Amino acid sequence: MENQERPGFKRVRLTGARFDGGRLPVDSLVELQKYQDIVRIAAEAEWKQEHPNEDVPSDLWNSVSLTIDRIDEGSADIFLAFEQHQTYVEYQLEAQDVADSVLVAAYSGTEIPDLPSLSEEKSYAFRSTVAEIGSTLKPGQTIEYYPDAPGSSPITISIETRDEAVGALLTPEDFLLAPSSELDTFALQKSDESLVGKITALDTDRMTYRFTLQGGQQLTGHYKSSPELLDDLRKVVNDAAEGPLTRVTGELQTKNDELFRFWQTTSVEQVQFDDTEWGHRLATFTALRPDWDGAGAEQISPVALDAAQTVLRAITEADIERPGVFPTPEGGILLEWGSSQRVVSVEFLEDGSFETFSLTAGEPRGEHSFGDNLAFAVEFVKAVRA
Amino acid sequence: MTDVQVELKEGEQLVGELEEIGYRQITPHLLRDGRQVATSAFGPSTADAGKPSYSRSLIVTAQEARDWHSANARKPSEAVYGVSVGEVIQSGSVVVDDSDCPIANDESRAPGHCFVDFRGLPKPEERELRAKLYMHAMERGEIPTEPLNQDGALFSLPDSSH
Repeated sequence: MENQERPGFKRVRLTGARFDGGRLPVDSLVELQKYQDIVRIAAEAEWKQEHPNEDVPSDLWNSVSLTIDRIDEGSADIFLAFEQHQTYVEYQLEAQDVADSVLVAAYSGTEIPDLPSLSEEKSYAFRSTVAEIGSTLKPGQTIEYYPDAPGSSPITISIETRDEAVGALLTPEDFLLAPSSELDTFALQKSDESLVGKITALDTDRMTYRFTLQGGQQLTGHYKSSPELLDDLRKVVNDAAEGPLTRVTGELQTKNDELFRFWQTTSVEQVQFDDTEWGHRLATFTALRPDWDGAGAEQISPVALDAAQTVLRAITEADIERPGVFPTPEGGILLEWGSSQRVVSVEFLEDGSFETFSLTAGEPRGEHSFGDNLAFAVEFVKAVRA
Repeated sequence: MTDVQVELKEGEQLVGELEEIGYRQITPHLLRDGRQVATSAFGPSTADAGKPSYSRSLIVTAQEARDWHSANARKPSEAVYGVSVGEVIQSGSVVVDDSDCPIANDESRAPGHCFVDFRGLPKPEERELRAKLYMHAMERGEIPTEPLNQDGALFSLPDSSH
């Protein structure tokens, strides 16, 4: 059963006397075709999000195609697999996830999930097609669809269950949809970013992981483009709250300013901040996204965070009063002792270098220095604050 | 007093009443750490182009300035501090009233809006100027205000960060 291990491999079992002995009536093939259609709609939507200003390639629809791998005896026990078109392989599994999530929800009585990758028109076409699955069934016949492994629990499509599913899939509002041309208002925004959170699940078949942010929000991350990251992901994956804090860097996609997913992942690294007041504060800075101040601020640099932590540890060991710890709009960290009489600061820049500064009230000019040797920064602080 | 070279643009005018206070809204909340405020809160942000916003005390109260900011800016104000026009000049800059400058149709300007002129300053001088403003502001202390009432609330919510 080697092919059952392949991602995207699906089992569909048709039951009823008509299918005994593994027979597959020709008019039942339309049921499989409908499933293929919803995967194709979802795949086009995935592609369109990646290329918002381009036309969908003419060969994408036919390239995302399923084939009957084999039919087992008993009833028509069908095993579907993707045909191997490497060009669009990255969109196939994602599209199949979307298709499966809606199909399962419709036939398990749970809420139909939002379809963020689909425009309103495409969503309607998609749900209409899902609703048509099972339309050839006669009384006593069922389609068992296995969304996960072939031996897992299936959903059952029959005349009876389909009635309820269609009601869940198509709402009265759908009939008000104007047949206007499709506007791609759902295009994704992409940027190379880092986020810090916890890897709480890993799916090695789909080469995805679940990334839970400090505020509890969950994203899906993909590492298909960097399979060598699997070892790093395994080291940090933990479904418990005490899992290690992890910085993920890659192509982050957002939709209407809401975080959506890491479509590509370029690095996964564990981060650790000391269990101190300033350590907790530095940890909060890791969650800041670009424009965190509403005025164009840069995301805080990991190098600056590391440098600040190193110096803060030394300050703590030297029993020097803790400075104020602030993010800077340039993506750095500012350690500052301020009063109405004096300001002393060490500002770590995005590249980990630093600038020191001190100014006493009434003086016309301050004292400035810069460097990249953190020992010097520590000595500066000891000299002016000890 | 320090000699200050100023190049005003169309619609800008210097604020000359030395005792007048320029109110500065402290935002976002990350620029406060416990009781300490960052000196950078008194200087320009990336988007300010050297013109950090203040509000003129002869035109608005500190509370009105805070309320307007919290209702209209992208981040609510966490606190209000102030520096006088004389202190700004003593620190080597000027306060510029830009209420007559044209703005885009989709923009709005706070009542009594003015700015401290950081334009063209290299980073070390920017750091010095904001530190000087900070020390004057700290000497004066936080100007008592309340957070903006939330919709439907009869009273201001207590500011837990104080």
